Amino acid sequence: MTSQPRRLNLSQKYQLMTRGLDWETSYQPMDKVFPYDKYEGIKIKDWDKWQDPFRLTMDAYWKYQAEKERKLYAILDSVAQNNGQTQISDARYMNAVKLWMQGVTPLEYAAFRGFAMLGRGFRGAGARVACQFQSIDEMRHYQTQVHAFSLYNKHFNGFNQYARIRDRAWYLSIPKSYFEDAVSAGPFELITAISFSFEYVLTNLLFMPFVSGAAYNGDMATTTFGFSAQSDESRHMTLGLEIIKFMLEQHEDNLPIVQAWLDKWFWRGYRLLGLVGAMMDYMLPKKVMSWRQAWEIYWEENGIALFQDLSRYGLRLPKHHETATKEKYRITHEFWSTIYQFSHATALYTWIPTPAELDWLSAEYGELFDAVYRPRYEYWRELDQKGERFFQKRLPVVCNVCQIPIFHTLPDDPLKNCCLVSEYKGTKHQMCSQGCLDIFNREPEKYCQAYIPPQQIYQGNCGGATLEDYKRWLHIKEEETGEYYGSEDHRMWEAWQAQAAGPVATSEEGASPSSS
Amino acid sequence: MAVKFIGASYDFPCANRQENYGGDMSLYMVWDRHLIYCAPNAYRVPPAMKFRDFLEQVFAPDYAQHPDVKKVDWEQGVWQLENAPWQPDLDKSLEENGIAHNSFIRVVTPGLEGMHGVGN
Repeated sequence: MTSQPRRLNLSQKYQLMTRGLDWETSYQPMDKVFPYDKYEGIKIKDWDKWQDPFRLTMDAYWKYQAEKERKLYAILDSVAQNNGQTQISDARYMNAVKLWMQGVTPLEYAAFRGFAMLGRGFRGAGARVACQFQSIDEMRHYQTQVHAFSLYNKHFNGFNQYARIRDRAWYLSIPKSYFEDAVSAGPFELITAISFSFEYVLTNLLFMPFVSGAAYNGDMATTTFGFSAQSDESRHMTLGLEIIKFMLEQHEDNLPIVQAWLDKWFWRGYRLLGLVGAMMDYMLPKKVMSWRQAWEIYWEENGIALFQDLSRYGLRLPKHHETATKEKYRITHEFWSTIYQFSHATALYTWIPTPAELDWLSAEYGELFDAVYRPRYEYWRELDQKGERFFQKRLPVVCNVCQIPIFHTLPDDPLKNCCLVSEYKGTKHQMCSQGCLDIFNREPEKYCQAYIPPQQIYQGNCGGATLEDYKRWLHIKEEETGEYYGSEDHRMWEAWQAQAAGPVATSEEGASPSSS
Repeated sequence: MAVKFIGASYDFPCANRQENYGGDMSLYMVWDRHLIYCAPNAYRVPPAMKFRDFLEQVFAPDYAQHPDVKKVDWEQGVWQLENAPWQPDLDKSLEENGIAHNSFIRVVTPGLEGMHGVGN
């Protein structure tokens, strides 16, 4: 009698895959096989101490992901068949999706590449396997987002050039540079930047408002991919926390290195999220929560509690977090003001909030909003009504680290631009804040190479000397830019609404809207 | 603290160095308390340009939609260069005024404090 082969349980499979299949190389020294995981100065004594709470194995991974894919694409099909593009709250909402497609979807692809590097770079098999899974996740997120948004690309402007403008547009160099800064560092800094600072600490400020905003604004395609990505995201967050604890538990010399990275990546992440904050406060016709409120819950309560928890490893709160908190009353209004006046050079539309939306902003932001930003918007509305829609014609100074136009104001004076200067190799560089100045001064060799769009335009590297030349080089068409009201998207939306409301004038079959 | 790197050296030229401007230079300037224009402006200018010409023919027109621009008298300006107090001579060139590549100029014009009493 032959006995059935014994089935391994999940934990045994995981153990075999991440420990049993790995070996110490003998033909080549390990340092030559894994040449990149020591130069940053992080000391690892025992990679076997790496613990992955999910203990995911390949067979389980494929099974879960395949199930999610089947559900996702079934729902995407039904959204398309039911004209999901007509079910959103308002066509202005679609600009949040455009911003995501242009700014964040390419980050998923960048993360796929970054984690593929990590999946080869770490000498511990447990860490490598976790990064390989995440790499595949990120590719999947990139693909599912492109598929989910392709429905909208058939109807709305602003989607079709996302890959090209990701490399060329001034406002997309903000997210792009965040990831390129990370992937051009060593593997431990990369995983700290992406898995911990971005995914663990700040993801609630990025993913949550976007996906819940999508649900609240009737965007079923985005909501569905959001749910499909959610279980992956929780795995990614866990990886972020695990890597921080692992580095700090392995050697005391790692603490100052990790602390410096957390200082840097907290600030870079915060600066990047200003763009998301502007989306939450201004691009969602139905509001989920204000940036101020999200900051209070997800940073001032949860984020600070997390760092208090990590203080047992010797970590302190990241530098300049107090400044970020001071800016919570202004950052999104400053950002929206900037996008509004430069939207003739974006594949986005902008607008002045409706009176009801201004009241919501007043209620959320209080005194400073009523004193400064509300009268500013009212002035711009007056100009628009006179046919003089406000656009800034001149290129702005851009921060040499976060790559955002220096609209930021002094921490204690919201009425004065902050523009700090650091000289390196005889060339002056401008930064938006003490946080970005510190980052520059720590590694000036790195940031002095930054590709800053206005600098490159003036040097003649972006299609010509004028804004019109630059727009041609971006492949952004005039009708995709600028003011929302009166735009092609707006006119199409009005036509859909009229069609839905009144008796259908023509005998065209169904309620299928035309995008002509 | 310097960047950590692999290999023998890590040495790259600054992307925004003056030699990339073909004889011109880059210049940054902000008119404080006129925040409807969100950020300091960036310019490519010849160093020999007279400062007054820059202000009147290049800089001021960029603030065309601000009501203060019609009333501005640059002689009354309170100036900073690289965030330090500075007194330019408007009839001298940018270069003669000590303005260099990537310099940052701030000006406040007393009496012209922007709109709404808050520097908009």
